Amino acid sequence: MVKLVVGVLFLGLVFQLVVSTVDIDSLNIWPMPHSVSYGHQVLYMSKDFELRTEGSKYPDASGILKDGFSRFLYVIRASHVVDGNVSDSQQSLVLQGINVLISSANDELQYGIDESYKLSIASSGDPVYAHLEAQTVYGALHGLQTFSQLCQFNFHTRLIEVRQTPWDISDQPRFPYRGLLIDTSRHYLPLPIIKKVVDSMTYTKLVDVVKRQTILPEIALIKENLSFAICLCFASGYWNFWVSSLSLTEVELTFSSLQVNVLHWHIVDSQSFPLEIPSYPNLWNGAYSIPERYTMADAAEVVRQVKPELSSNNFSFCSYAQRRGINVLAEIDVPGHAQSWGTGYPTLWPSQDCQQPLDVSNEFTFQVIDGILSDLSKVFKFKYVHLGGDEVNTRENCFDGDYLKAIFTYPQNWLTLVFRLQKQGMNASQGYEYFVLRAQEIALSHGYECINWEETFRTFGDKLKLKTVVHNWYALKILVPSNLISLFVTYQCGLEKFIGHGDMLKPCFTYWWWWPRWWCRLDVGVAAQVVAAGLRCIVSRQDKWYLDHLDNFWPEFYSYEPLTNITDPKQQELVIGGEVCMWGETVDGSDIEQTIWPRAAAAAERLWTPYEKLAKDPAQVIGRLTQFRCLLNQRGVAAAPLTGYGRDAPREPGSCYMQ
Amino acid sequence: MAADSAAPNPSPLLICIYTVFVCISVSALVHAQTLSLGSKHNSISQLKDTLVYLWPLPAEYTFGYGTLSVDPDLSLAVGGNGGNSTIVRDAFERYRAIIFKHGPSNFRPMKSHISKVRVVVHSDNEELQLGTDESYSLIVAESDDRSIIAEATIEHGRSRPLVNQTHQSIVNAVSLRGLLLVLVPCGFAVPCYGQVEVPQGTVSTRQGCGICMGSGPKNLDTAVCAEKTSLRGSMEDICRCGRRSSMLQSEEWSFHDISAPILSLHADALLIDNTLSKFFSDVVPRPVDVETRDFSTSHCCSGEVLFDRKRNFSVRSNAKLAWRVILINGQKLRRLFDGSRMYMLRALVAKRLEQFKYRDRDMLKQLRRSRLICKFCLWSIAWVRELVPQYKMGLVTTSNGLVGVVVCDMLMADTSRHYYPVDVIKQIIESMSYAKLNVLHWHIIDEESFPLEVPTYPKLWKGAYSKWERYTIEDADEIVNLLSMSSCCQIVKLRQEKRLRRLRFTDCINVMAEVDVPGHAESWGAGYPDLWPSASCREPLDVSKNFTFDLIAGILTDMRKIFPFELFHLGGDEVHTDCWTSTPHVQQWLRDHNMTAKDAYQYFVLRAQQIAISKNWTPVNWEETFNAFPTKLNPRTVVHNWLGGGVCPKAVGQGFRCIFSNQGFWYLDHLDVQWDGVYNAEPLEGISGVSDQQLVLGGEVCMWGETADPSVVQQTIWPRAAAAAERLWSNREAISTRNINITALPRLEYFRCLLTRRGVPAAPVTNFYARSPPSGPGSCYEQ
Repeated sequence: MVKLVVGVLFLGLVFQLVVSTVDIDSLNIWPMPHSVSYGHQVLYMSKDFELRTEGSKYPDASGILKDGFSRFLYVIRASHVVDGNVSDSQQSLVLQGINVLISSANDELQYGIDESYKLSIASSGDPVYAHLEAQTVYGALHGLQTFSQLCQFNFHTRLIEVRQTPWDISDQPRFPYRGLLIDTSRHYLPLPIIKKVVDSMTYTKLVDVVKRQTILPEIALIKENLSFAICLCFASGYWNFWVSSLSLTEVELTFSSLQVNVLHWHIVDSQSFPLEIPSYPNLWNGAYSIPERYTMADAAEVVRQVKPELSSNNFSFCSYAQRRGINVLAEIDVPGHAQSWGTGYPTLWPSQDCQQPLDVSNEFTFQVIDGILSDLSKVFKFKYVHLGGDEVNTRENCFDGDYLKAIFTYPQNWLTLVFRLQKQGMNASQGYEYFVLRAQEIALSHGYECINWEETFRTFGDKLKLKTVVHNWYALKILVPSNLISLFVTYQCGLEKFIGHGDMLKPCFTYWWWWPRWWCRLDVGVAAQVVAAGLRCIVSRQDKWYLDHLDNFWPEFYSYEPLTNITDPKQQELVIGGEVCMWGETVDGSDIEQTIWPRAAAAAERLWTPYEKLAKDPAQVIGRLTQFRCLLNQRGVAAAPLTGYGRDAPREPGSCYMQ
Repeated sequence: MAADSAAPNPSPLLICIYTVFVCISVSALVHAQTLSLGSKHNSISQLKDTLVYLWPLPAEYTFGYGTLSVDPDLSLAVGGNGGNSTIVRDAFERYRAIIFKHGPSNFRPMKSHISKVRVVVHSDNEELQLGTDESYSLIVAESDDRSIIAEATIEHGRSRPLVNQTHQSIVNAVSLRGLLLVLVPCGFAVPCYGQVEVPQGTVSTRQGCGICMGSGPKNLDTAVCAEKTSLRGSMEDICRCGRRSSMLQSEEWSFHDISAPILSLHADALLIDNTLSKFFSDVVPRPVDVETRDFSTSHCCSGEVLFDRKRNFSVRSNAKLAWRVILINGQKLRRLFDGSRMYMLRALVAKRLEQFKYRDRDMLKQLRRSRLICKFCLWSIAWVRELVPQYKMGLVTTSNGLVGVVVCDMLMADTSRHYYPVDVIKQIIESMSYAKLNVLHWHIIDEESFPLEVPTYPKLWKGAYSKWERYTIEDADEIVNLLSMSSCCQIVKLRQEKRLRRLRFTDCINVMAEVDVPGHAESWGAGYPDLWPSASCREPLDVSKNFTFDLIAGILTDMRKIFPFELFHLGGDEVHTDCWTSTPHVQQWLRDHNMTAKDAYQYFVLRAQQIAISKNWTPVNWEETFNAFPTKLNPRTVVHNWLGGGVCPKAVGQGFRCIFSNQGFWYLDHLDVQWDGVYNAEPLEGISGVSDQQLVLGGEVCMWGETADPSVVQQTIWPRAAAAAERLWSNREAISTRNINITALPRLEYFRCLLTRRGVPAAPVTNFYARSPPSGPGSCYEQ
């Protein structure tokens, strides 16, 4: 009997523990609002919870608000059967509906629109209504998202209840650009999957999507071979070779950072070209296969309103992202990462054997870019277009030829190219600069502003147009020689500029005592330099905000600060936001959701919530983030557990709230 | 009786849903072909081309090489006693939504397109139960009637009259609409050679090798032919037609030029060996001088020809093969076919080829060399002669009855080890229907948690992980009975009204609940600690108290209200009786009743079985019960195998029914079992007698939840569950005899991509460990 009692007590204790960890006495809103206050009353949602828009200046002709409201009703139900009844004595506690007051009639979705909202839910009244005020309809959508997180299904009363009323929330984003990149070139992502991603983005108030491709594996390879390269450098005296690989590694190490109200759609890359371009219909011959393509109408459906006559009979034909307040940023990565273009138009390749970057000497290349951008501009109405410009490996024998490889294997190609370039009076790096700037001109002529990856800034930052937004991704390694040999090598190879002293020292390239050794430190990234030069910047530092780096754990996503080392308020304003990048090398429709979530949510709070309200120690928010991850699961989003590497399965049975 | 009709449950009707699915997949065939054309693996692309990209494989099928487009405003026509069921209508709407989910593509109809699906359901019984007839036959065919250009017909019915009814209704279709000529030659033309008027029409291929067809012997009318062709608006076709007519007139029969499988059947029915070969010997040597044109609107796009070395077209020896005949420049053709074996040649429409020009250069070169690109005409023949005598016909027919044994395809989900939100369970159920799995075995409760509400014993769900990780009884009811018509309609309506895109009601899936007693029940005691033998020793349930059985009876009573399926799983596995022997009062009880712990286990299981039987359920138990006391089990018991092979043969040997879930193959949580292991596991292994085989209800793949929560459950299930689904659905001989890497793997990869296109995150097929990510960039079809 004693045992039994102890057991029961113990069990009770266990449950108490479970419940107390899970119980929502504290705030469980993700991301944390700008300012919030709450009480301790409970309200019940009426079965006929209604949307009222009296006094609102927004006509809602396109149904964005109504649509958002019905989605709101759907997610708070979480597929449960809600059939409870409120007793008569509690009738005064029934929340009858929500008043939405929008002061702008304009529903154009654009960069920098006002996304703020004010949500207040009184705890009593006759009848009780929630009040939501926003400047734009998109602010109101964010408000509904917050509201949905206040609602809980009660398993005993079978009602949806709003706890902790009265609520008073006033909220606005910290950064106007909060992006998520998806990459449909490395793997084709079917449209339902993209839409699911868009849906789940709204839950965290991320609003931009980017798609793109990289050669990261190659870089990683080079990184590993660096010591080997050093060895070569001694043995054979190929100084050039050595320096070039080091700088490449370096480039790779330097970039990394990220955010969420933009879907950055990295549509095409070296591997495939899935999008239809009506002006150049052969381009999508570069797709993996016939079904793995997007028509322009598909893209339009994701991005914008399409055929109005169809929208009447099927709601799914209405613009998807816009209805959710998400901008879609298209990326066309030139001149590197564009091998697949040549499948349809082989003349875009410098030669058959050397297929990227795009042929800078061929006027046709720019005509194609012009055609693509003019087609895109009809569909992608976002103010920006991403022109890539990263990892252009001109040495890889295309612009001016890798000396060894080109001369010995393809002498004609090499000669032709060098000849062509020389005819135009350019060397390889000038060719790169010329290409990027000309592509920018084309984009400007179509009314876009350009975003470019940071290599462009690093190579010819002074030439970039002031309107350019530089997209940071690299984390530069600062080298600290740790023995005499490495010191010698450093100076011999002209690496002085990478030498520095830092606090985050880690040994790298350690082999034997006599081997050249460095301590490395990660640079803070290019953002500070960019804003100092007066350009705008988006951060996506790869060692923090690349989702495909499965060893970037959620605390790193949470704690990376985009404004590191930027103190001047004017310069701070130039950092328009950040972006988490979901590169597609090992991600397809089967695992994209759990790779993105919940880590992207951690970055989303960094990008949304005011700096003062952010936890200094990620451990403080773990309960709230766990709660949010379970909420995503309830809504059918496959968010992975917080423990373990990205997208790891849970290790053992247990509650969602404990994993 | 009135109640019966008023409360319809999931039913055989629903199976027709599958057929819509098959129909969709058929339209995907086109992709499949072009896909394999574009494949980088030239060596196997030819083989691939002979595959049917349907999963699981239908029991019988034939196919042609025509291409039909599907109208987004596809309409539904129903027939038969059960045709008016809303289930059919809902399923039709749902599948239509799936096909056209891909966005508002500009619909450019081909010359012929499917604008109507005709569904005939013979039985009006809508109850969904074990052994419901799930057979169907599906015909997708083209006719030359201009008002309704093409039509798909789906037949479903209780098996016996299937044959006649199929025939009947299709003939009706022919007479009514002048459609679906498919069966005319099968039904009449062959027995009455040359006597029966074949509905006539003219179709011309773009390429211009028009062949004219008359309506009877000896009355070829070139003028009519030309006139008819001109209605099609192609001058080029007319001249072809005229040019060929002289030759054709010398024959007794003339041919319509054929661009779709249906029409080709005429020719096939007529040819009876020498006609066609004669025809070819005349035609082929004359070069067909047609230049490449834009074939984009042509549906005559690719085909195959089978010749033996003497250029005989041996129809009879390949009764099951679809016949595709291509007319090519004669000399080249002959040279090509001068080899020794049966050749298979594939030609491509030039346009398609061009799309792959840079992909597949070698193939292009090869084809250029043989000048196939520009000069060919396609003729496809789809007809299974074997089927003719039995009047079972159609492009795709399948009948589960043929397999005979496998009626129970299951997937098991375990919500005890991890809680799956209701939405996730619905997603799983929906994806199950894509693979024709029909039973969801819901392992609701285990030692870790008790998420389900039991109204009679309201404290039981205190054993849930947290108060949010629970199912109310209404939730369970919705999951199980989504199919009952009223809720279907409601949800559909709800979806339309509120524009909820993700919520869809489920397909015809039975849900079998499991309450695992007496082991695996620790969580019960969180609400009622009396159920534990003692607070320190909590498993198995206390056998000595009547309260335990009262509570089981209470649970079962509550569950009976919402689980209409005939089977109910009572567990009975992994019972370690130490707690009973070490707890004093249980020990005392054992002594009083003169039982050993093993006897008590038997007593518990049998008593639980009695409770289930009294609720009119058929008990299912894990195999330990059978291994321990086979003779004592209730003869109605279904034995659920899991530990290893050889149990089902023993069980059926003793007259028990059996479900196969060998953990070496069909436990999905064993991540190191690859798809071929799953695919090759055979539930009927070692069981030879037909009556014995019928005792094997089927099999089940088990998704134990220890390391799978909502974030990974779908990619752990798919695509391996699909491999098992084919084993359970398709004809054993059809899927076991050949090299599965050639016959099944490409199809499974295709099916996996289909799943992802529908938003189901199915993992790559060939990875060593299940659910691991793709290893590098690449096409979905080649991961």
